[in-house]
Amino acid sequence: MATALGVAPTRMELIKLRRRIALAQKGHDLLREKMDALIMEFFGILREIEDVRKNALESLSKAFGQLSICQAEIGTIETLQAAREMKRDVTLRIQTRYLMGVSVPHVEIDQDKKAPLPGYSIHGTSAVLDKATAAFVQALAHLVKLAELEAAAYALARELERTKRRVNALEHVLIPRLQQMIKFIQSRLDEIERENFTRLKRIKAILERRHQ
Amino acid sequence: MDIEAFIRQEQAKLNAHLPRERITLAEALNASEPYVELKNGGRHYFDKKELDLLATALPKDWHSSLRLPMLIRIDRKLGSGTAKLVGLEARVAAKVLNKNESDELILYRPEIMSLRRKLPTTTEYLFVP
Repeated sequence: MATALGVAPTRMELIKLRRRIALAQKGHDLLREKMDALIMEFFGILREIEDVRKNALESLSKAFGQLSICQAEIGTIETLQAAREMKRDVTLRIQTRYLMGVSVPHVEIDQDKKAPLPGYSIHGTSAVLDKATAAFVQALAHLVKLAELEAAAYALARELERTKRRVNALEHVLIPRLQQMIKFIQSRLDEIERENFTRLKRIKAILERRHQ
Repeated sequence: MDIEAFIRQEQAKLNAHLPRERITLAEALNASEPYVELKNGGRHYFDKKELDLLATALPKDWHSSLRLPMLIRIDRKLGSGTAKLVGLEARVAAKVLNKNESDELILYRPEIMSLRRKLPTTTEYLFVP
């Protein structure tokens, strides 16, 4: 059994193992705290995603509605032509932020280019097209925010999985193994103590017999 | 891997996201791109809207003494789901959460969530070993 557990049944080893189990327990507690905090952050982001997705869908629906009105009012070909003439450059500023030690992107549409001149000719188009353009720009802002949050959620989920695996390894493999080793050493030491006790008793009995 | 080495490595990783040096709110407000360098070599950027929120909510003399990010201390001695803020950070968090101001503030899970929701970039977790 000693070889199977890979541990010598000595008092020194017992002390070492007790120290090791205390360290493992401490690591386990800290990782569990991290896991709890990660879960909190993850659900917070999920709630935010729900809100932003709702806003994005509403603004997209509004934008496509405006586009349909525009197509009906100035014509499909004219609207397509205006769309081709649109300045489509969108500058995004991507920064890193840390959520519980997990690097997540923070994406912002550059403020200067957020509302550029549309680029299409005012002649031949109407105010409905401007409204549709504005609605799409607004929808884009929601979509960018949604992308940012979804990326954060994926990164947090990956970290959560990794942390959970470590917590489980400590909880179900390392700590029980150490406990088993301690139990083994303790039982071996008890057995040695019992053996010594009986040996001493026997020696005492032999010596008493000799004296008689 | 040796168990002790594995646990020590995990403990070291827990706080790798903390800044090498924190900056004051005043410095962050003056910077065009406010950020701090992290121990793991990365950069953590602060949200300007959040900084403005802090600047308006706090008295001006606190601006040069409040260091960012504020640290939410997770100490296992306090029990599961409990965190602590100390000093000026505790006062700021109490103000943000509409609680009584003190030099030491103990927060429970829903309050931590609320604080993180209000100040996601200007607060950070610190795991006390």
